[in-house]
Amino acid sequence: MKCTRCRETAAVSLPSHTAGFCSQCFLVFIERQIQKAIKDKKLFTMEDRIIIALSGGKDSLALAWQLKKMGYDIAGLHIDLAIPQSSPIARDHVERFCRDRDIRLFVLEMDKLGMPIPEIRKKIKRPVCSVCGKIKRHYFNKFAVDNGFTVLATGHNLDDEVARLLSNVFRWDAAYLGDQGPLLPAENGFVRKVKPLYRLSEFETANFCFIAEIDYGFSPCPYSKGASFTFYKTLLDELEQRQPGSKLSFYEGFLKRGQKAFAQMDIKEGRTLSPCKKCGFPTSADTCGVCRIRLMLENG
Amino acid sequence: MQIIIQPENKIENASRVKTVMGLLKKLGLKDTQALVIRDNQLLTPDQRIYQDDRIIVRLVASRG
Repeated sequence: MKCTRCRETAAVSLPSHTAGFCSQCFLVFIERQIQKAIKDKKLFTMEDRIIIALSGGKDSLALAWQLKKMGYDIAGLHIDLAIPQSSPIARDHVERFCRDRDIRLFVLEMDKLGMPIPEIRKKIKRPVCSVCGKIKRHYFNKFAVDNGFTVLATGHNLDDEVARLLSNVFRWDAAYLGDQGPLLPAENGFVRKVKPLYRLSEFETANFCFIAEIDYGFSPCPYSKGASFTFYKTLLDELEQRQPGSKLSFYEGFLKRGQKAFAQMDIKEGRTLSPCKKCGFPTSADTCGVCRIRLMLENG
Repeated sequence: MQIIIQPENKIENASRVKTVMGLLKKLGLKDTQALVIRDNQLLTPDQRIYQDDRIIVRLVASRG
């Protein structure tokens, strides 16, 4: 297979784009996809102060690498979840990556904040993934707001977004569908949230990390086994194999023709936010979900 | 040929496989579910592989 741009031997084949690229042209392709996402969806500008949520996995490190290369004002934020089997490995990858690339890094330690995930897991009856996600979103947002960052960027890729969309569609969850997209504007105590990798698949970010020599963490979270999103991703891979390009088309179609309708429906149904009476951050209940978890831990 | 499947670093042996596509099929993978690497070079599905190759198959799906 030859590179679509320069006719050298291709290193990456992309059926969804009916194209193949050599290593150097693939880096150009990735940069253009991210530029297109930033421009088309007006995600941020050179004037923004961007904090990137860094998990130590391929997507968030790829995002930081590319935004740094493009000259944006970025810093990294890592949350150490205190999971013995995976957290030290993830943190080590993030710290080495930021040191080597001269990226300013902040680390929040859940152990020191009284919210270690293994302890929470022992106390709750449901899967810990949704609680863990809630805690991370809370602290990422709080850190960004408290420290004057104007944008919170995450490494969610096309596969993450399409799996989430399918899951929300299966439940016809208007509130989640109305909120889904690569840009959530700043409002009601929430910093602007962006997903600049939404046009790129996991396959593309994995190839990108290999070519850019980004050493990312493979070690999966020991608690994520059987997560429903993994199953949705498998289903969607089958669809993509038969109809290359269908993931991006499904997601872009939703953004163009579906998302606004669900957002309107959510406004009509009247979900209002007010400050949490414990921490002051926005919530639809009296006390936010994170403070309720903290109370549960304190009460044994 | 020796196949190292990451992230688990599980080692398997494959015989009578002539292309990357054939190898992925044998492992039950689609061509966008893994990177296939030989001598630190990425391989596309159409490329030939040989019996004395040492191949890394790196699964791409993140799991939490």
